[in-house]
Amino acid sequence: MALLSPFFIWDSMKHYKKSRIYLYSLLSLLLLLGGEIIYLKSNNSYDSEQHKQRLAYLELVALPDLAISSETRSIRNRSLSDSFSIFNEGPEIRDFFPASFVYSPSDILKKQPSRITIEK
Amino acid sequence: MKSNLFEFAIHSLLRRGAKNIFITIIFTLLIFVLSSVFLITGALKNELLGTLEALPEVIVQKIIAGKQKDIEVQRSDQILQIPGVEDAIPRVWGYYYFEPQGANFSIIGIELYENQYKQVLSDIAVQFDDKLSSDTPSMIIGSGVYEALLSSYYEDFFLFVKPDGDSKKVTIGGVFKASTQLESSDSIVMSSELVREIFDLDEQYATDIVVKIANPKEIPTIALKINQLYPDTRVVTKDDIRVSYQNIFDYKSGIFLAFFILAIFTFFIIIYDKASGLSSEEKKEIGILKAIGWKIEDILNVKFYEALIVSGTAFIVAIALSIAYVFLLEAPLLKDIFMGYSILKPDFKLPFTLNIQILALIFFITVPIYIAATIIPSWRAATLEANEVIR
Repeated sequence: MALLSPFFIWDSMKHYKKSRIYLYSLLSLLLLLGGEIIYLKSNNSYDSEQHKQRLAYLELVALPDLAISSETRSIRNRSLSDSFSIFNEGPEIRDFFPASFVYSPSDILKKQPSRITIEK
Repeated sequence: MKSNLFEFAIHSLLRRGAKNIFITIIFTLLIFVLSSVFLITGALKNELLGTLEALPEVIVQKIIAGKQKDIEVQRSDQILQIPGVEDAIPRVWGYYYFEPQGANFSIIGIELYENQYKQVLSDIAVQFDDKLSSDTPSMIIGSGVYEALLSSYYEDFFLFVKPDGDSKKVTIGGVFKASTQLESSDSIVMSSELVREIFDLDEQYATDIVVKIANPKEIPTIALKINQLYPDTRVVTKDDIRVSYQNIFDYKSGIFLAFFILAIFTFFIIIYDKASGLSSEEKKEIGILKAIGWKIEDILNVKFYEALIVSGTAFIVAIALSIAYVFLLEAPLLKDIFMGYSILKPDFKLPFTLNIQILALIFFITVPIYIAATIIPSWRAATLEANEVIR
C-alpha cells in the first residue's frame, strides 16, 4: 500500500525528469480519450437493428426531417416548405416561434407563448 | 540535445506557472465550446443524412398562388405512366394543433390494413392489442404525442376535433419504439380514410404525391418530366432535401458561430498582445541565453516546445471534455440551440459520430496560430544582438 501513497509517488517523481512526467501524463490523457471514444462507439451508436427500425419508420411515413420541434409547422418537415407559403408556413420568415430561434421568449412578460395568440 | 531543450521548455513554463496555466485554461475552454458545437451539429446532421436513403426519390406538391394546395389523386396515375417511375402514391398528411400543449402533431395516413404495413408496424411499434378491435378506429403514436395526451388525461383514446366542430374518437393502438423517437416523437399514423375524415379532405384529393424511382440517375429527368406534365407543381427531389438539411445546420451553427466570433476575437487580441512584444523579462531571458552561447535555432526550438505544450495539451483536454459533454452528458444548454424550445421534445441520445475533418479544422484554426504568435516575437528578439536585448 505504501507504494501507492501520494507521498511515495511524489517522492519517486522527483527523480524523473519533468519532461518524462509530462509525456506520461500526455500519454495517459490520450489513452483516456481513446477509451472514451471506444466506449462511446460501442454504447452510444445505433446498432443495425435500431437503424433498420428507423429506416422502416421513414419508409412508412415518407416524411423527412427530425421531430425536434413541434410548435410551428414551418420547422417540422421544413425541407418540404416553400419560400412563398403563407406567413407562418415558410422557414424563411423572420423567427417568431420559440422553436425556430435560439432564444426562448420571456415567460415573465407573457405567460402565453406567442404561438397561441397567432394560432387563434 | 533536443530532449534537454524540451526539459528546459517545461521548466521555463513552470517558472511562469500561473500565467501559463491561465492561458491553457482559456484556450481549453475556447476549443471545448467550438468542438462541442461542431460535434452536436455533426451528430444531428449524420442522423438526418443517415436516414435520407429511406425517403422517396421525389415528392410532388401542387402550388397555387404560391401556396401549397391539395393535389388531384388521379395525377398519380399519369405520373406512373412516365418511364422509369416505379410507383406513385398519393399521400394524406397534415398538422393537427393540440391546444392544451401548444404543439403540432403530424398526422400521417397510410393504408393501415395492408399486410405489408401491418408487418412493418409490428416491428417498429409497441402495440396495445387489448385496446384494439377491428371495428374501432385506431392510431399508432409517437412517444412525445403519447406523453402529451397522457398529461391531458387521454389514456386510451383521443378526441380529434373535425373542421365542422364534431369530434372523432380514435383509440391509441400503439406507440412507436424508442429507436425511432427522433423521427416519430410528434407523429400520429392512422389509416388514410381516418385522416381524410379528421381533416375533411375530399376522396379526389391528396396532400402530395410520393414518387419512387428505381434508378437514381433518372431522378432529374423524371422530375423535369413531371414538372412539364403539371406546370403547377413543385417537385422536391431527395437532393433538394439534402441541400435543405445542410442549410438548416449551417444556419443554426452559423448563428452560434457569429456569437462565438466575439470570443475568438478576444482570444486573438490576447495572442496579438503576446505577439506584438514579449515581456521585458522574457526578452532578457532570450538575451542571456544568447549571451551564454545559445543559437537562434535553440531558442526558437524552446519557444516552439513551450507553445506546443500549452496548445497541444489544451487541444487534447478540450476534445476529451467536449466528447464527454456532448455524448455522455447529452450537451446540456448547447443542445437547446439546435433543438429549439420544443414542446414535445424527444428524449433522445445523440448518436456518437466523430468527424476527423472537423477535428483537423479546429486544430488548424487554433494550435498553429498560437504557436506562430509565440515563435514570431521570440524570433524577432533572438535575431537581435544579445547586449541590445538585455538592455
